[in-house]
Amino acid sequence: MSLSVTMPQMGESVVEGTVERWRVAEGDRVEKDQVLCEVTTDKVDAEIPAPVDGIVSKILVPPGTTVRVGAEIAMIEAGAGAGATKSGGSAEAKPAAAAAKSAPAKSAKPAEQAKPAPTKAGAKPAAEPVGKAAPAKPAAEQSKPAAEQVGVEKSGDGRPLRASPLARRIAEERGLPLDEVAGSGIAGRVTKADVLGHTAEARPEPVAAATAGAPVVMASPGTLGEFLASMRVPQYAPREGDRVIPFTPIRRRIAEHMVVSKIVSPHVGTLSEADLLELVRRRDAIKGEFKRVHGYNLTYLPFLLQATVRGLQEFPRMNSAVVGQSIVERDGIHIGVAVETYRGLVVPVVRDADRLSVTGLAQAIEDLASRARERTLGPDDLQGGTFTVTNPGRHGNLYGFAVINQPQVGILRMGEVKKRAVVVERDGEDAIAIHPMMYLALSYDHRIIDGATGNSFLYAVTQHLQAADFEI
Amino acid sequence: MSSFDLVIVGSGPGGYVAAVRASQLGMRVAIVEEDRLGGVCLNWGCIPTKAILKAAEQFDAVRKGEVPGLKVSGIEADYGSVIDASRKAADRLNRGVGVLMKKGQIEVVQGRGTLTGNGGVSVKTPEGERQLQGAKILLATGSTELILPGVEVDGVRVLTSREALESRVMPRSLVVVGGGAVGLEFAYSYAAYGSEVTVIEMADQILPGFDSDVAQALASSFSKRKIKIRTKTAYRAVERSGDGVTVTVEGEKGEEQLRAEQILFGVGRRALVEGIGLAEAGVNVERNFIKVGKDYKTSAENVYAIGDCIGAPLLAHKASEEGVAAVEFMAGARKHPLDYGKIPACIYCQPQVASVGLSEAQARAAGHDVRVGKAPFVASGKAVGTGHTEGFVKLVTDAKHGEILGCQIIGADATELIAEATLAMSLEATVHEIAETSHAHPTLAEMVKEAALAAQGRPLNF
Repeated sequence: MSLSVTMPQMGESVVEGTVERWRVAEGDRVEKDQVLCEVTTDKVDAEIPAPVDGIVSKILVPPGTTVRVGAEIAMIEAGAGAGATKSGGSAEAKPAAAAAKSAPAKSAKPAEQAKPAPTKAGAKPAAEPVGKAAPAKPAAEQSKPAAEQVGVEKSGDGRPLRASPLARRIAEERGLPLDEVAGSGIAGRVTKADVLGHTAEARPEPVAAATAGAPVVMASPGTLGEFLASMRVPQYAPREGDRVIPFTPIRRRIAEHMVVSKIVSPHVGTLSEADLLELVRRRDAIKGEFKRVHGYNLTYLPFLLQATVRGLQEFPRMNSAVVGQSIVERDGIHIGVAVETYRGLVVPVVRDADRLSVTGLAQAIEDLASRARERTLGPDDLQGGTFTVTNPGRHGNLYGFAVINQPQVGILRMGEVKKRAVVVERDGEDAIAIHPMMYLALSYDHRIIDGATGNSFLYAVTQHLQAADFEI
Repeated sequence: MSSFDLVIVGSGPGGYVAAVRASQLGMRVAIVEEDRLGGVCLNWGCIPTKAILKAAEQFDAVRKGEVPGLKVSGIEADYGSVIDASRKAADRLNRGVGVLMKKGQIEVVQGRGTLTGNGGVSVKTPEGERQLQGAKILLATGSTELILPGVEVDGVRVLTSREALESRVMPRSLVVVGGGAVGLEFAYSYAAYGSEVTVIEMADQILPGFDSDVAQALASSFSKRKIKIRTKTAYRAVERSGDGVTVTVEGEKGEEQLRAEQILFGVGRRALVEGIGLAEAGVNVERNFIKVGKDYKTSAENVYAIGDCIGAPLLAHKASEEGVAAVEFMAGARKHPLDYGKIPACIYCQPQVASVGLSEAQARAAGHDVRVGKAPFVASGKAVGTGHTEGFVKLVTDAKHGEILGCQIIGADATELIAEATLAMSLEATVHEIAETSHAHPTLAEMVKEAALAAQGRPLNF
């Protein structure tokens, strides 16, 4: 029984993944859940486990290749050899663990049902490398079966034939698959400049990718799509002395997501000021004990999350998505918390935030943040967010407006908590007092949220935060 | 009126090579030349000077008794016959270009070509005016010796390289203005025949722009040959007086007068962009050079330009590469532009100097983590055996990937050896590939490999 291992869905907006390296070779015997390969995608690094005991009969995707979600990346002869005696029957029941896991979750969400199937991957028999410099290739070659295309222009060791030794060295060092790089050198050879310039260039189909991720806005892709495609992006040509740092896969996808979000959603920013006097008192009263019991600091973030949850409950429009010509107010409140890691920004999701106390929220945040830093976040940790809160750090952060995390419609950004002189009313008299203050900056999607709703939501969150009446 | 796919104006190393390539690509080509086929390079530059330099080198070796087993007395120079030999070499190659034109069925139109707009070129031939029409026009008009204001070249006392190449008289003393390739090659030749030579250079080293190691090595070699070198010294004026010239120069110690029989100016070249109808045809000129894009298109539709007339480096092989590239761009047969960072430059005096890519100083200025691999020829068996131990191969590399940023060679056959480094750079081979490439023993080329090994900190022979 031969089973295929496919590229799993690892986040809502993820349409492709890059096989970084294979831990097994063709012919290797593997046990169920043994790691087959390492994969990087949009926001997560993951290991793909063997779905069954068996023998790796075919590796369809060379390291460094980016393929669409759902594309076959390897074949396993289930139950072959010694593995057969261990757990022969289970093979058919559970193909490609990760993919199977995400499938039901996906279909449950209306937002994602509306997405067009990644047709390319679906129609073709095997992994189709994406991000390859398609225009550089003659059309005849493109129409070849995908599996064959993978083998094209490769030498015995899987590297493209036409690349300079220097280009190879640099690409190798940076983990850049050479077959993604279009060669501009003599007779199409891949040169140093090509490797350095590769990630800086716009990829061939960025607009098409945007369309796939956000079908709604592109209701008439013939017009807006063409308009976008016709846009010229001013390019800087690196000179001697410049330091060129090629995009990592995660950086590339962050960049893509940010651009897409700004195109898809007309962002409106609105700002409020929260007086945290009560909250600070409340937190100060319990933070020492909290640290002692839980072993980590109680920050303002879980409080803000709870205030946000309440705001979202009062204004469900903020907890929605745009699907086709409809607004979909989403069931469940799952809040993405932007975390900066050394590899870039990731947004793990605190699930069912409306069912958690401040302590529960703090626990969830601590857990996600530490796993993000350790790079052990799984696909499920990153998808399904309905709203995002971001806290870019304490210093030099009076306020700022974040980019909406698609397909959500709002993002709330914390400013730094700072003592300021404020006017307060005491016994009917105005007085100047020193209070800890924080700006809250909301970016919302004006397609479906008008000023009144946006402001009311932000006001509600601010009020909850100031009242400091939290479920600890 | 005759119509062509391509009309080329100028038959120097840019123009004639472009004509051959265009013919290979199936174009019907006419080439317009007002003087002799082959241009300055072949007739009044690269080729005849090489004949003179080789003769000078041999004469020098014999005169100094450097040839083992050869005992000579009463050695006498006959410089006139050296000039004759150089003319013969030029004539032979000139005929060779004629043969190439015939072979490619390229029509040679003798006379001065002038653009008339819309693809027209008017040629004043000895038989009268002729109109050519080209779907495309390629300007390859080249350059001529730059003559400083106030200088009157008479070919007897005051010369440029052009006059020197026909001057059969060896002056007893010579002031050379300009420490670049032209000036140094003549300085070497004349000194080899016993002329007292002084080289004046404004910059702080001869060979401005070259690696300072190389420039210093050449300067010290020249000093041993009794060639006086004055850097940071500017030419001010020349006056004919009696049987020679008085040259006023200004150095760090102020003005001073030098006496010599002749003065030779090698101060640069000027593009030939005047009187060929550029303005009329809408071809823009910037700072005296024709302005072109990476595909050699000028501002006028279907008019292309290559070679010295579009700017530095003013080198024959650069013009040839541009000629081929321009024609291939026209034919849609090429996408990648020429890489100007990988064009070698050579000086053919002894010791020879050859350079490609960045000098050490340039590489450092560009922010590279520079690692230099330097292999002296004294460590080469071949060099010791043949008595050419002067000089070295210097590879300028980036420590990170072993990228070869530049190569500087000074010594015998440096101008031949540079080809390996140039190929390596063109293919982006690194020091690792050169170090692992088998080099025949004994050869001077082994020193290129040794330099690569030295850059890795593991030379085998020194």
